[in-house]
Amino acid sequence: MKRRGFLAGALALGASPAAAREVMAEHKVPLPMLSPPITDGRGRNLTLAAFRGRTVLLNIWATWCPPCRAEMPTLDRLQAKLGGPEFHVVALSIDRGGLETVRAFYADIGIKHLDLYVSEQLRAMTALGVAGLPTTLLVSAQGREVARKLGPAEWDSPSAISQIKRIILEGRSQK
Amino acid sequence: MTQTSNDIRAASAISRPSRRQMLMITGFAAIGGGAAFNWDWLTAVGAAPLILSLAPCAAMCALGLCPSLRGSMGPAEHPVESNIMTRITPTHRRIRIALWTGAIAIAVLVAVFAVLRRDQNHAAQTVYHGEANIRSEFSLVDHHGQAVTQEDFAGRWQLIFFGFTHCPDICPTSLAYMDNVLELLGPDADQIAPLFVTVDPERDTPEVLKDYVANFHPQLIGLTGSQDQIAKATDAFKVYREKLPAKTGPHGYMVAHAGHFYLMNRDGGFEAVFLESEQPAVEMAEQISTRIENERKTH
Repeated sequence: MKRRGFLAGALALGASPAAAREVMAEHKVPLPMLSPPITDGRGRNLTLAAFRGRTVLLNIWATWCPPCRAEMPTLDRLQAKLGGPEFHVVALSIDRGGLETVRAFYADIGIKHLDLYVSEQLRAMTALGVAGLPTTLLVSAQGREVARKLGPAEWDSPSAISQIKRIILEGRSQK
Repeated sequence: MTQTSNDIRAASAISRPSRRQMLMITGFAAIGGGAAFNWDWLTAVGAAPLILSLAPCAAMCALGLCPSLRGSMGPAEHPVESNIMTRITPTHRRIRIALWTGAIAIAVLVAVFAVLRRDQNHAAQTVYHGEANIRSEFSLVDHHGQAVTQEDFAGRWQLIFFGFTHCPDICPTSLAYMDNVLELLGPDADQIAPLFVTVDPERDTPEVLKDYVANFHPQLIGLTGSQDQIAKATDAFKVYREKLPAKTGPHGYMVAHAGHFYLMNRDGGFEAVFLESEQPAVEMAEQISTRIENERKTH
């Protein structure tokens, strides 16, 4: 019986297309986080604590990083689909040029749903342990790092959305 | 009587070869030693021919035929004992010849093997001299389109990074890290020329570099050039680079390269290399400022 279950599982894993597998590798135990100081589009200073109670997809990026630019529309669509009282996309730019640079880029590629967030690159890279861009973290409603991905993804793909929805549900049950 | 005279003959017959054998042992030792000479890690193995050439002597001692022992404290002092000990028969001689032949063969094989290994190893062995053979020598074009050489940065420290702007998948944060290091250095950063040399001159034209370096430290200088100029610069800094096909990205290729930061002193001589992954920016900044501080003290 056990063996049958195992075989069925292995078969299911082998049969599922790569796209249906989870986009982000989840940690066994959610990790505590440090927050760099963040400035939002209205110039307000905040930290990650401001998003407590909402599941957050935190994407660390910069305009000088071509793959980051390429995945930005998928983050915009994800925010359109899932953004709200339970979920929020925080696209955190570490551009030296700050808000102005990011605002120009958003306008350039037609971003409609993402809010503006910038952080000083030294503090953001140190606090969030960034060694390459893009780096994306899934943060639970409790403010813990649930999963991390280095490199770009299609954030509005069905597999990404189902994984994020599951984390939102798990966060809800822990409240 | 015949017995005694036979024994004496046998004894003298042995005592003469024993000197020869000593010479042979010395010879083998010399071969083994020669193979091991000037070759540190094989000195241990160099002992093998010695041991091998002494092996038959040990075997003969075990058989009660030890010639060298008898040579020194042999027939003259203890003729009777020696007579008892050395009943040399043709079988003994054959054993002795067989043992010596085996030992010689093994010693020669070990020596030949040792010499061959040394020749093979010679090419692969890296020889470190007192100073790293990394030189700041280049003739390139900066992001304003101006021709520059290392002379343009003489008198300043140089912090050099090789990279490219078209990262296909994951962009290294090395230049942002370098930026952080320079910021942490404070006023000392003015003593340093931060240089970013592209390993992808095909795509990284001065115009592309101009837009790119604007994202980083205001003093950062982007350098490009012809393939030949870039090749000369990477050779001088001993930078590995290789064009590889890439599935993602606009042009179907990427340039793999070693991601070291090179710190060169005011004379363009090599000082140190750093890797982003090896220390936080604060630590790298400290290491650089210590060097600048030391320089101040000595001048």
